[in-house]
Parts: sequence; structure tokens; C-alpha cells
Amino acid sequence: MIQKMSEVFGPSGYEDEVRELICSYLPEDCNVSTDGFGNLYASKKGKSASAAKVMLCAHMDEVGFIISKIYEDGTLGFQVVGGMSTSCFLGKRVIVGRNGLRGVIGAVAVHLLSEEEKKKEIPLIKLAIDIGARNYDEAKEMVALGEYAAFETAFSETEDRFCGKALDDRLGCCAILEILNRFTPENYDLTACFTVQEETGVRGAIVAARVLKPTIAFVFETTTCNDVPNVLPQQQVTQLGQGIALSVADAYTLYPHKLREQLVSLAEEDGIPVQIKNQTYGGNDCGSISISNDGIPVAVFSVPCRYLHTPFSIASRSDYRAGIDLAVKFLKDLEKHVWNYSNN
Amino acid sequence: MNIERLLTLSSMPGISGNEESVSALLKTELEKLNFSCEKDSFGNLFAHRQGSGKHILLEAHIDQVGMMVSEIDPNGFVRFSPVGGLDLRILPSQDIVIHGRREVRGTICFHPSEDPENKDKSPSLNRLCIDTGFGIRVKEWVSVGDYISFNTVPFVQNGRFFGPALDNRASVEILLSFLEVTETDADLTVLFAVQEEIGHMGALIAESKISADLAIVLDVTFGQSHNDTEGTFLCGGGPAIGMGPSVARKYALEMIDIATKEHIPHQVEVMGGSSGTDAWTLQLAGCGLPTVMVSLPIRYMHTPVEQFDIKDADSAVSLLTACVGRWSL
Repeated sequence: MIQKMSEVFGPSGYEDEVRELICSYLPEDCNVSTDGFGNLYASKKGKSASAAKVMLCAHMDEVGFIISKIYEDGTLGFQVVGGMSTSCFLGKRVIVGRNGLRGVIGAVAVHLLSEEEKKKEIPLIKLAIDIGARNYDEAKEMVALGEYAAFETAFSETEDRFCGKALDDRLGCCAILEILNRFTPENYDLTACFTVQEETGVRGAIVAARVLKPTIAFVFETTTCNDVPNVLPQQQVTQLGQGIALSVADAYTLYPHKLREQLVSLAEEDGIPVQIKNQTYGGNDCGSISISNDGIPVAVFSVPCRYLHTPFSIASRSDYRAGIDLAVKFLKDLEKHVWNYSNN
Repeated sequence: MNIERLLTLSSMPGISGNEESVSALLKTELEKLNFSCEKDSFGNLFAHRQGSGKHILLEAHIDQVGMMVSEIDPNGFVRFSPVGGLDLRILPSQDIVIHGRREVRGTICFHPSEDPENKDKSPSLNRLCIDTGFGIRVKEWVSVGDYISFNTVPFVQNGRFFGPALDNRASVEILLSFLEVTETDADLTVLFAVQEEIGHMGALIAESKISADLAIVLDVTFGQSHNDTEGTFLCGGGPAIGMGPSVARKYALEMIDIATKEHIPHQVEVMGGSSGTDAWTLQLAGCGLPTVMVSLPIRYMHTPVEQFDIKDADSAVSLLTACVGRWSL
């Protein structure tokens, strides 16, 4: 499942194929629906009528590209969808559009550049996606303006390591799918929400929070893991293999202390490895959910992921599992743990 | 063109100094065509098939650019040296395989520098390293000196072939296709040379063993791509016939004439100095060896996503057929 979810095509604005794939993994006892923006909901009602509505949230979209121009020579100009650094684009394979058209991102051969030019990063305008069209007319037959594109990377799992693209946030989606297949709540409603357009500004979650009006929400994400050379420990954010990451704060959200502290002590009870993010940048769907309605308590389970928003990310299976185990433990006795502002 | 075989050749790691698996495959293919093969101690593969008329040497180098492990740091990040003229700009986040005691997949880790001076600069080698995700455990499988190749899978689309190592495996395939489709009594020697990418070493070593009347060198040249510069050739415009001090003028002119008369699409590549290929070296072989060059235009040279137009390769095969036919008489 993780392989298919990593490899499926779904940049922000065209999450259709991801939605379809997720639906194929949903358990039979889920009520499935979508809203007007494209978010997918799968809910399980508790056995007794209850006020508590628990939201599990992950985003379906990945960062990608959109075709903005067809050049005379048949190559394609493009813009970036979501936040990515152009330094990782050159010399990579991509998929373009809905029919699995292949392409590569290329530029002038290095031998032909001056010493000055070799040292500079290529600006986006000089990059092009090459689909093998010989000229404008051939390209026009093959692809239309506004089609999306995304990196094509084969997923692999070796020992404890996942390698692939779009681990952000297909790992989050997979975590929720595993929870739904493993757990049914007794006394509260559980709704999984697979959002769209997180990468373009946590937009899907704005609508989802308004639709669901949850009592509490848990977001399943990936987060920066910079335990790589030339980065000081205090800048690493998280470390690979050291457990699921919980957040104190990030660029969009201040996470309720008590909720996080409860999660940490539950983790300690069962020896589930947990780490705390040590930087405050980044953001996720909690940013939209926590300030919606009357304010919603939120927590995020983030799988540390090296090289987010590049064609090749690396994450740890044990970190991923730790997130699922901790979430299930909390959900099993939710009423005991549920914390809201008025229960201070 | 045997596309299946080229897909195999493009995926086969054969970086300069480590070409054994490629030459083994080529030996098998040549023996099917009644060539008797011999490898020298450097790794060059020589194959000869007796015939009549002029003795013609057909040459293509079989190595590709790549990388080699130079150091494994205490946290298991792997530093590397380029083998051949790598394009450093394509390295960040590249999908690679280290050929150690086992094949280990990884990515080239690029951490954008916070240093304002380096902000818009493309990465330099000392800021790059490979991350396999295994940390120091990687030492169980990987050692200094292991080769590293690109993990990109080749593919065909719209009559164009995309993949790594098309410099020079595309030429290798053109040569094999020519031998397979053309009935000829010519006296032929095939030289599949090694270590071209690091200074035409194989060709240099081979010089003393060559005694042909004429050589045709197959290599690649720069295909015109999106941000065109001078000195590039249209992919789809036909193979480029070399002109200049790197080739024997008489034969080059004849080749152009043959191509024109036979309506074989072709372009002319003028090089005022070294061609940067084995031709420059082979001209000095023996008592002097008249040499011509046939170069396939490819885009994005020395990256894992090189590309050429299959029609150009077919034209190259036709050109070889016509020329060898004329010159072996």
C-alpha cells in the first residue's frame, strides 16, 4: 500500500487519482463522501450517540509542476506548484498529465557552459520538461497547457528505510488508513479527512474543519529531518529513526501543551519512541483546523523525513509505526484523555 | 536498432575502469556474428572478422561517466569523486546506486547553504554527499573505491530514447545494428574501447595493436535543447559527420557526398581542434590511421536523462552501410 500511495500521481489541484486509490483501501464500515473542494471523508460512527467528534487528517496532494508553455522546439515550460527548491529539478524524470506521459527535466549540456555559468544555479525559466516531442505541433497533440506534472521515483523499502517521492504526505494518508482498518471507536465519531491543496496553503483543511466541526483533531504528516552533514544539532528539527515527532509549535500553530504531554506519557508507558521537533518552522493542516470554529485542540504526528519536497525522500518504518501505535493507544481511551480548554 | 538491447545497455553500469559487464555482453553479441574476440589487459575488446578489400576499424567507447566512493563519514554519509566529466547541477536529490558488496540505493543529499554568498550558486562537490539512510551501518556493504551509478530507468516515447549512458551506449547499439543488418564481405575490426571519459585511455593503449586502413569512430555530439547555444545539432536532423583536424578530410568529404547522394539525413560538425573523442587519439595509431567520425546528437549529455531521436540512429546505421560498402571495395 505504501508503495502505491507513494508512486500515485497527485500534485495540488489534481488529487483525483490519490482519492481513488485511498477509496480502494478504506474499510467497508466507513461512510465515504467528498465535499465541494475535493476533500475526502471516511467516517465511523461510535456505538452510542456522542458529542465527541474526532478528526484524523492527512493531505493527499504532493508538490509538483504545472505546464505553462509549449515551446517551438516541443519542450514544455512549467511553474512550480507548492514550495520546492529549483536546485533539485535538473536531470530528473517526471510524469506529465493524466495519461502517464513521461518526461525529463533538462537544460543545456554542461560542456557548453562558460565557467561563470557552470557555477550558477539555473533559473526556472531556463528549465524545460522534455517529452520527446519534435516541435510545437507534436507537443500540442501530446499535452495541454495546465496539465500537471510530478516527479517519477520508484518506491523502495530496505531494512527500516523507505525511499521514494511524496512521502509527504502519503505516509500520513497510509497511517490513517492503517488506523481505520485496525480500530473502530466505541463511544465517539471518528472521521478521517484526506485533504486537498495543503501544499498551496493548507487550503483543504479550512473547508474540512468547517464541514466537520471536530472536537479534537490529529494530523498525520511528515516533517523536516535535517540530521545531515553541515547542519548543527540544534537546526536538525528531527532525527531519523528516533521516533515519531510531536510538535510544540511551528509557523502556523501553537500546540496545546497538555495534549502533547499526555501523548508523551502514553508513549513512555508503552515504550513507543517519540521525539520533539526542535525548530519552529514548517506548517501543516493544524494551522487551519486549530483556528477554525471556536478553536480546536490539535496534535500532529510527524514522521521525520529527509529531503522533503524533492524527488527522493527517506523515512524510517519504525518512526512511521510509532506514530500509528501512539495514535491508536490514545484513540482507544479517548474519553479518559480528552482534553479541552475548559478542563484546565 | 534493437531497442530492447539498448534499454539493457543503458541500464548496465559500466563506468570508466569498470566496464567488464558491458564488454562481456558485447563479446557475446559479436561472436554471434562470427567475430573472433580478444580483450587486452586494459579491458579493451577487439574483434576481427576476416574479409576482403580494405581493412576497416569501427570504434566506439563503452564506458560512461559516474562516481566513486571516496570517504564514508562517521555518520555514514558517503562522499564521492566524479569519474569523467559529470554535470554537477543534476546531482542534488539524484537517485543513485552504490555497487558495493551489495547494491545500495541512495540519494545525493544537498543541503541548501544558509550562507548568503553561496545562495544562487550551483552545488560544488564538497557540499554534496550520498545518503543511503542507513547511517554508519552502510559500511557493512560499501567501501572506499566502490562505483556509483545513476539509478534512472531508460524509456522510449514518441520515437525518442531517454536514459543514462547514451554517451556512448547509443553508438555501441548503432555499431551492433549495422553489423547485424548489413551483409558485407569487408575486412572488419571492431574496437570497443574503455576509459574514454577520463582521457581516451583505452584508445591510447589500443593504438599499438591497430593496423587498419581506415577507422570510423562512433560517438555522440550535442543535441540542440531548449536553451540553445552555438555548436548544437538538431535531434532528428541526422547524425553529424565530423570535419576538421580530427578527421581525414578526403574520407570525411566522401562520407558527406555518399550521405547526400543516398538521401541519408546528416549534419556536418566542424571542429577546429580536438574532437574530444577517441578519433583524435586513433589518428595517431600505427603509421597513422585515416579516421572519420559519425556522431549522434544527444541532449543533456552526461546526465541520467540523455535523449536522442531514434531516426538519427537509424540514419547512422544507413550511413555506415553505405560507406563501408563503398570503402571496402
